[in-house]
Amino acid sequence: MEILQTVKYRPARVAGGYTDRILRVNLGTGEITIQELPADFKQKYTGGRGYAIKLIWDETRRETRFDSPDNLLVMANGPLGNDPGFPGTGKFIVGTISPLTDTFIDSNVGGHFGPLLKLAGFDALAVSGIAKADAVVIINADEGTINLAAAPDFGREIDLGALSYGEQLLKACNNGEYSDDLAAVTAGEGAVHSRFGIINSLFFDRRRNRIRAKQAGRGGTGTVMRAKKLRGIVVRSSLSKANGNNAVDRELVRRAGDTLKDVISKCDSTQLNLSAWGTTGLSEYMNNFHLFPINNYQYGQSPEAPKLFANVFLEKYFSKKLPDGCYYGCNLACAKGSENVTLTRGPRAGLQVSIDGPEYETVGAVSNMGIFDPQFVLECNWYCDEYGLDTISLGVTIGFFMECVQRGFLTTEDIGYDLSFGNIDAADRLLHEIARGEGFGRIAGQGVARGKKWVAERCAQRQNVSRDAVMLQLNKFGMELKGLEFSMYVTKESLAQQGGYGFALKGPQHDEAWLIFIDLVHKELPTLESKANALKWFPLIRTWFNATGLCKLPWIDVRNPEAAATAEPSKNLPTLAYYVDYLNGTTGSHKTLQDILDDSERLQVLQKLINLRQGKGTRASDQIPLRAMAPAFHNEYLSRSEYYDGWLKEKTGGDKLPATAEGRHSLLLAKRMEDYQKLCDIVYEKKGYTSAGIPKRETVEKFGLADEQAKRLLESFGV
Amino acid sequence: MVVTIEFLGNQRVITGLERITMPITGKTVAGDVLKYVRDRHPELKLDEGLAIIAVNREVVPPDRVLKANDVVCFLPHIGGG
Repeated sequence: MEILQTVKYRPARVAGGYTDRILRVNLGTGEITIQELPADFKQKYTGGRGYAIKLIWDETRRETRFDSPDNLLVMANGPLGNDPGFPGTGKFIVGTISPLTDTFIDSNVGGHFGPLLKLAGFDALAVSGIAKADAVVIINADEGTINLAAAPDFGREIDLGALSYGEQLLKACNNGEYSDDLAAVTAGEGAVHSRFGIINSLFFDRRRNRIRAKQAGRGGTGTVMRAKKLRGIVVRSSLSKANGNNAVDRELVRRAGDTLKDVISKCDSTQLNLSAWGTTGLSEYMNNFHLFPINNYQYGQSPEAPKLFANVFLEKYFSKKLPDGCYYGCNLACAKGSENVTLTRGPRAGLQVSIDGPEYETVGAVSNMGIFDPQFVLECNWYCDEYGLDTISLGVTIGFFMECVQRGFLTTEDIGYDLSFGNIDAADRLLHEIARGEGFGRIAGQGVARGKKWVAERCAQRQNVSRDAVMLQLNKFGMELKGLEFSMYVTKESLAQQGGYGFALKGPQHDEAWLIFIDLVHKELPTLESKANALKWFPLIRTWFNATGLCKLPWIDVRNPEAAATAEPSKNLPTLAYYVDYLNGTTGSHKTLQDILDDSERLQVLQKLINLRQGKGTRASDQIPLRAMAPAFHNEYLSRSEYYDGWLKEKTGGDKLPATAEGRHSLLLAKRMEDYQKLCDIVYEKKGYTSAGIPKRETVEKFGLADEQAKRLLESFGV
Repeated sequence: MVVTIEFLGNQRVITGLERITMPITGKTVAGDVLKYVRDRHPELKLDEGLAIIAVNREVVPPDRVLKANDVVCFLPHIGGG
């Protein structure tokens, strides 16, 4: 490996979950520096997502775009990551200015990279600048060196793939052998050619004796990495993972971890059964309640959906006898894998591969294209990981273009082939074109927001109508907001989840507020007030998980039996009490749950300010597409007209409904739009925003965020 | 009169059954179905307080009176990823 720059360092000892250091790498200048953090930094910004938000706020500008040299690519663990005594501690956050949204994106990812980065002496890594040629960064805590090197060449086929390249890179850094002392992040060819490139988090799994991968999937973080000409980062530390945080109160940490593991072990197998099925178990429940995306979210249910239920993947693909997990000590172990799958399509057809997944979101991405073939789900999963593409954005973008064909906005001539719903050959072809930046893939790789503009131009010319008139129609079913594609839930019937997507700061990804089942099925949010309260509370606690380096699933997807006796069972407060103990035991703090929520609110307000600065922070940016709140077109209304008419009757108090189906559909649309606006009003008020969705000055001041930049920004909005 | 009890997801795998029927009277309530299934399939561990009862895809309280041909299922809590 050709070393371009070397810095020697002494790794900081982890104490109470922190190292209080950030590693800075400027790829443009080759400068590598270590930033010591002041004592109050962690008090104010917690870690993980909080650190990434603060760095982006301070060091980027309104004009910064994903490929600007001053854009930062931040990878940050958190104080609670890296303790095998507690479940789900392998997470870290990738934060940057997104190529899809032009504002801050955070994407959480599991694996060993975050914990090893901490053991190597860093709470975060911040990469700036653009390298002159493809480069890699090697952090070797055992030797006490940080190297910037020219990206090694492993041969064309390997160099194009994120998984293949990462495997070779890890071997190259360890005398040709895999080791669980090393982990890597990489981005592949698809991240060069599309705006929804992912970062793969690669680690060695001893049980499977192979490299496994988890993904920072949302918002194009891999695209940023490749725009910086950064091929990969390797981190190495042989320090023991046990008590890796050097917890202040080890006994409190042990008790909290043991209790949570006990709840998981007793409850998961009779609930969602994540330890056996991973997240694919959701498909069946979503389909049963019309929440499973079919044909670009037109429908929420299909008679073909059982072909994609969890038992199919369990019987045909998942390794059944291997305990999984993306980090040590997690007994929820939901990171399922499939071994020895022979690819039947694409340039690697005939190759036998190991596949990490599929997750529910990838299953939904495929059903969203009207495809119900489990083998295609597996192959789409593997190719996207290898190319470095987000399966969610891919499925939503292809689904959007398929619907453009269905409704006559595009023709076969525009695309070059028949891109209709359910056409596996066409979907497969487009996947590879997107990854290689060829043919129609050059357009589709830009995502839905930019795709809408392309279609509008083309369609307006052909049909001799105005571009705006076409755009009005496309906005009804182009499933993106703020530039990010929706994740895989049909929200038409859940006002709370409409808000969950609409108010999510990064765009419509469910990890800020997943309220759809709580609202629609469990009916625990019957009033506008209760929905608004949930839309404040859940994003706060979920943000805290992202700031501390923790996975949310052990909390939110394993219901503690004791929660049934609480006033709000959906919050699963008995389990959250273990997390508060874990925090206090690790860091030595004496925080309550409310303190944690307050810490998170500071981060949410600061992220909101970034959105405001980047042009994505006002009420206008929270307005979801019509399809997200109602059946946008008449065929969707007719598919469940009895249900919708029943909803209207209840809503109007039994008033006489319009005689025609068209009239009832119009009334339904009006009522749904009215409800969403009411929700905006009440949620903004609860969050301390103006009715325009802008944080009030007192809200910003309350969290100590009124620096000069914030004051100027608020002034520019008249606040 | 009977109702159909559908086994979803994990329940279907554990019992090996798609659905069963249960005879009802005019006074049978949703909670009786839960007890009926718990007695016949203790391996499902359908604890009161944790299992959510849905009738015709609508979540109902345990005292909801059932009608002939209702379809009953039991749901886990799903909080999302």
